[in-house]
Amino acid sequence: MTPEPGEPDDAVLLRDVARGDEDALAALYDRHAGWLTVRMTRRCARPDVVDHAVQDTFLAVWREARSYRGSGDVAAFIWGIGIRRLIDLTRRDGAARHRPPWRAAEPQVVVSAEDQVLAGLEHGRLGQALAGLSPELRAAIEATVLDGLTCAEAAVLLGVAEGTVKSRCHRARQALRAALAESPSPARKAWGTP
Amino acid sequence: MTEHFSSGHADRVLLAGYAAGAVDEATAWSIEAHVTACTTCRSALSAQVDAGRLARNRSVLHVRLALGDTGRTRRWGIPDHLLRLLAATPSLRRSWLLSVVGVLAVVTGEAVLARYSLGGPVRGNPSQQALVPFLLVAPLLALAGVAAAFMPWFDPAYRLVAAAPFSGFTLLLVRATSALAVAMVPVACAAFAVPGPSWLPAAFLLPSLAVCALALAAVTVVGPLAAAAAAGAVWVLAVLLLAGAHLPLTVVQWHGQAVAAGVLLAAAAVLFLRHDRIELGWMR
Repeated sequence: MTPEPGEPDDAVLLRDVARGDEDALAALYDRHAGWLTVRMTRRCARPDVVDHAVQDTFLAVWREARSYRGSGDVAAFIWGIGIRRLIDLTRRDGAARHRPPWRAAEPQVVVSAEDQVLAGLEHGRLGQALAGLSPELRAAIEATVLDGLTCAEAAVLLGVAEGTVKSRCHRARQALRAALAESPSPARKAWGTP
Repeated sequence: MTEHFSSGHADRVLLAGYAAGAVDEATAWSIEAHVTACTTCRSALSAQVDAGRLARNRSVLHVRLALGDTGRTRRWGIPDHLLRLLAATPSLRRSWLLSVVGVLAVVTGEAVLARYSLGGPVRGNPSQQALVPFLLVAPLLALAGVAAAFMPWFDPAYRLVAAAPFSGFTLLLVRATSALAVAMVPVACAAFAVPGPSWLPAAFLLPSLAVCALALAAVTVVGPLAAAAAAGAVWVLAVLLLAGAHLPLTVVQWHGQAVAAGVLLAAAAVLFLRHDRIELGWMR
């Protein structure tokens, strides 16, 4: 829910939560639980585990609200807690085996090419370079770069050994560098290849 | 990759695709990075989640918060908040169990005294009559334990129960079964001390089960207090009638057991057919 003009912003709510205000926690939940659920679902296909992780996240926010330094997005703060709660549950339930099926296989619901064009999507060079990576390498890059996880945390989330995450990240970086250096961009085409 | 977000915000189709797992990785990453910083797109993305699911999670969160759940423990594979609700069952508390033991001690002592003050068994019936209070009380104690597990005004946690998302019926069954199991232990122990046939300790199980099941079945029809009272009355009536006929033990002997089994089966059938009537509504 978007905060109405008169409503307190997230940082204020978080401060109230730190003071033990349950209504503020409920307001934070209403604003953030939805996208958190979607984002976690991309990383864990089991709805029960995701639901539990979302609850755990807000319980942790309740406990740790004071550790918010007052800088940076509250959403990023919540995600930082959330992804680690999810990893905790994954570790406990062995849910790593339940990766979303669409990571390994083709998506069930395909956004058609027209829709992507309508949505203003073009596949840029990074998109092409990423598409060239294997799903395993992409997942390793996503966990470490986008989610900001350590290799050990990423290893739990992905259900592989820590060393595997390290080597996959290394290979992914090499592959991306090579792809970005080699693939001819529209701009380069205009200049002509030397 | 801001060119993916034409008006500075992620398109609805794009967000729907992301929520369904149908966009490629680069797009998904752009969306995630953007959504962390953009309130408008966050709420648009939140709209992709089933509102009922979010509301359910919200009420579990409230329950867990109110029960002091730290979000970290899960003992014996059972979610911590369920354990805490179970632990809040009045008939599983120590004070309750102590009063059960107290009542049993009184009726057992009475039966023992009645027997030995008469100078041993005077053949058949007199010793049976001495057992009447024990026969009356034992299954009623189990019934009281189960009833306390479903009566809102005994239960400080009942508001939380009412807010809980799992079915009231499941919770009721779990609580009733544990209350019954816990009550049966002192009852069986006391039955060993009572001067009576050696099969007496085992003989209380089926009638107690039947009386409790009857109360649970009655809950699907009338209020919790009336249901418990009616089930208790049925038992008291049966014992008193047989005591009047000088055959009180019959209630736990072969014929009694057969009737109890019949009642148990019938009550279970009623519970099975009408369990949707025990939703949280009646607890409020």
